[in-house]
Amino acid sequence: MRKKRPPRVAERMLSLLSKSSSQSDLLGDSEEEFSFRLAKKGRFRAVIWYVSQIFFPLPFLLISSFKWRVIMFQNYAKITLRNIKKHKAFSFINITGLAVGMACCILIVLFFQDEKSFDNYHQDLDRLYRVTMHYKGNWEVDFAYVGPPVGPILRRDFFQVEKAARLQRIYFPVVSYGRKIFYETKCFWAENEIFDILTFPFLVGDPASALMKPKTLALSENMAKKYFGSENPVGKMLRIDEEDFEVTAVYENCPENTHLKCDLLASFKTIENMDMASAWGWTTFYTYLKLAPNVDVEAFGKQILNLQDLYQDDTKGQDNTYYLQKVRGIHLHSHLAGEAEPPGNPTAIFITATIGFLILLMACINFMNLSTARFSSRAQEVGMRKVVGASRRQLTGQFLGESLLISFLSFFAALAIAGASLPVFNEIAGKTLSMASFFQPGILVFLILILLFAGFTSGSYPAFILSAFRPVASLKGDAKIGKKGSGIRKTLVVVQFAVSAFLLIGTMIISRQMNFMKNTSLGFSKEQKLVLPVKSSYLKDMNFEPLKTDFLRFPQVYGAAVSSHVPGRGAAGWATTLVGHEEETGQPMAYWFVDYDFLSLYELEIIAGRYFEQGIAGDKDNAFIINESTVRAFGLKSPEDALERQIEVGNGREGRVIGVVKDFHYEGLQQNIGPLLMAFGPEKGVNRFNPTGLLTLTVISDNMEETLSLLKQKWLEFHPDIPYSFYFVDDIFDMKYRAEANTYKIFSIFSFLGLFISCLGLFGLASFVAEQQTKEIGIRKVLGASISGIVFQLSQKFLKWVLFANLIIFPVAYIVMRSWLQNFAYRISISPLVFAVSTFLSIGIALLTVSFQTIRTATANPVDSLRYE
Amino acid sequence: MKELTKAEEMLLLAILRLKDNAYGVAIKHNIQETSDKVFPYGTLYFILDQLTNKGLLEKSKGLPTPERGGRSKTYYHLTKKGKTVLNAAFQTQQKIWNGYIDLVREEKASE
Repeated sequence: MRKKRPPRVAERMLSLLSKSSSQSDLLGDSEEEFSFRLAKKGRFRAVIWYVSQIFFPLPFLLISSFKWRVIMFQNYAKITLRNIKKHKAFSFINITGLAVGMACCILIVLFFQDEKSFDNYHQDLDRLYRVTMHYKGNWEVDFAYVGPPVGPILRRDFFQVEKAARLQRIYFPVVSYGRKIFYETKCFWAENEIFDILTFPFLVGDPASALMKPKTLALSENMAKKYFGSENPVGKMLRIDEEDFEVTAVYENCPENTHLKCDLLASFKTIENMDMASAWGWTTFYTYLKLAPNVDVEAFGKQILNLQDLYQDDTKGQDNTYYLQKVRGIHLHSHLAGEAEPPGNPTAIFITATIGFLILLMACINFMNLSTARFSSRAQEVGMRKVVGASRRQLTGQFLGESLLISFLSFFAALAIAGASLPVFNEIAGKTLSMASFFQPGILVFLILILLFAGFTSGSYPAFILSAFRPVASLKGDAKIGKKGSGIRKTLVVVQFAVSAFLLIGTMIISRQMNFMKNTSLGFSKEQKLVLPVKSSYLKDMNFEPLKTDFLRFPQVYGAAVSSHVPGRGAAGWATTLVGHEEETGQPMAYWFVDYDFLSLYELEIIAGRYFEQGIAGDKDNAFIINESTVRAFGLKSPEDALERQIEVGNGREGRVIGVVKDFHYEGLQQNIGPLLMAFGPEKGVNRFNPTGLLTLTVISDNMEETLSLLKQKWLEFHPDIPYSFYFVDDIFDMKYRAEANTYKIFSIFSFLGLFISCLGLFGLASFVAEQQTKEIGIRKVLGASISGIVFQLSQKFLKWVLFANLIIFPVAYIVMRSWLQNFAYRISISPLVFAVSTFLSIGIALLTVSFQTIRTATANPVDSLRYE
Repeated sequence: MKELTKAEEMLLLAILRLKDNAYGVAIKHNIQETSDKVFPYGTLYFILDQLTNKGLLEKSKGLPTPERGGRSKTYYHLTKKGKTVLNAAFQTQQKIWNGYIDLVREEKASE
């Protein structure tokens, strides 16, 4: 039976194409002829014929449905352009507002896209994992790296692991080739398998064997150029600290969007030794895995969770657990201790994205407000069109089209604004985005979505309200149509001002927190502290004293001290044990070496015991100063209780506590103060893991530039084999607060834009209201109202709205900003003053905006406004 | 009144010829027989709709038949206006072509 009928798909298409009144006739006729042909020529020919019926009349069908639309479109376009020209102020407000809003969105989309693209370039990305660790002793911390036994165990005993590689950062190496000597920062000891896991495109050399032998290394292209210029680097010897390494390979520079930037990879074989197999507590080894295809990652994760318990005989009361972490999300979602590069901040991105979107929304609200406010002027047009026969759908289409056109114009302005502000944006966001990034397909689609969103949102309300007019009312002209949308207009203005109030409050709280961080005493002196790194192994017997005296001869240098770390740079840690309390110790603690002058130079305070003293035997070799936080970590009752206790450190040092120093914020105010040990002087003997010495000078000078160049000369004269580089301690802290500084900048820019846009809207609305009430005001004046009374009367309703907006946003702002402040271990409390100031400010600004119009209206001569009555 | 197009003329004439049996399939075949022109149904109905809208044609419903998939036939008739317009078209046509045959003969004779 079915066989006798035409194919259903074809039938459906035909019926879709023929929207005319005679659709069913057409289908019927086609089917009749189909059955006729079926009988005569067979099914195949009949079907072909039927399908051809769809295509032949296509041009006719299209013309019949589009021809009139094109004609009407010309008319709509003409009316739109006329309206834009006629109401220049309104159009300006609309287009500027939308353009600014869209520009914000465009920049945020670009930023977001870039953040999302991190590490996308690795092959087999879905199989790449990093092993991380949760340390649990007396205190807890999550590390991005693990101990050295983990990698080999996973490679050997777990079938799920296809490849495993360990990487360890080379701490501040001096790299030299001939007379080119530099400190480098992005260097790692790496196992050769890393090339099978992460993607390093090789320019020269063989990825299978580049790092197989001890004392070999691979360089990035930039590094090769830096040291070897145009020479061929392969086979040359490059010196790292005291040792020569053979360059075996050169790879392409790591892209900007990676969580792990490596300039130099030296063979892991160079440092590998027997001790590593049991050194679980030596948590400085980034361990990367490539899993075999189709591994049940969840099950594997459970297997390795208690890896340490399975393989280590004695875990010393620690309950460490191990986790797999996808390489894909490390940049955005991993914020562990020891990340190789500063991670992204998804909360900040989310907040900025929300704000950008809100600003666009505010611009759209302006558009709606102004268009509805102009109801009356368009009402006659709408009435006329309806009388002539326009359907409601056509009118809706017309107004939507109008707003789309405006949003289209704004879009190009937005592109220009975004392009122009890109350099500033790059600086704030720390990115290297370019105009070229606009033209990726993904971005383009999103930009078009933004355009359509803006067009439809801003056009929707006027489109549906205006198109619903009854022509009789609107043509009679006396209908107070402006009244109709006034409730919604009020709501929209309130929403707008609520958003700007939120931004204002946010800006103020962030700026107060910033000031708090800048002005709170960190517990040490960070002013005028110049830090010069000195690789300790470069000095004979690690004797820093001659170096210090060299510099102390300068009148500008007021003090000098040597240490392994300075406040703001306190990373290295050793497992530390309190003798007699072994069951709960072996905790990783920050470990610094210092000298006699360190305490006084940084103005630290001793609260129990004493500092290292010259001439007291034993201070040099087996004595420790600890901070209050260490006292707590050891579970001791008071600083005094800690004195004379014996301590063993993982690097082999042991000794007794001779003093307790008051806690100072050596990691900045974002973090709690962790346990810290200080010992005197560097380890004995040249050791690769010896930390670099940092020479701190207190430099006080009116002409810092000149002093710095003097110091440099001196340095080059005496130590030509040690690279010269320097930084200031307060710069480090400025860097630490950069993320907050950027949030602040973004917030203040956005709140300015937000306020600007809402003021544009308010201005437009005020002028509309003033225009509507011209006659009323004329009559009031004739009856004796004063100018100030009228200004007050006109402004008060706006002020009510703004006040109301402020009140409703307070709780939201309070909750959001309180959660932001949770990021800081040391933070301000939110004072009610902030809310008062924000209310005051937004009312003031609103008043200023409105007053321009109200004063003009109030001072107008009533004769002008009333002469037609 | 705008002049009829050739296709419109052909349709109207076919409907006139078919008298009471002027529905889609019949119209199409009639045109095919008389002038070798083939109209796809989409085109055919586009023109029929236009003519109906202009008031030159009127429709009447017939009975549903199985070979049409249960749809009923729609029969077309010329309205009074339709007839007038067609007549006018014919007059114009005659005027335009008037003397054509004589001219062709003259030309042939002179060759």
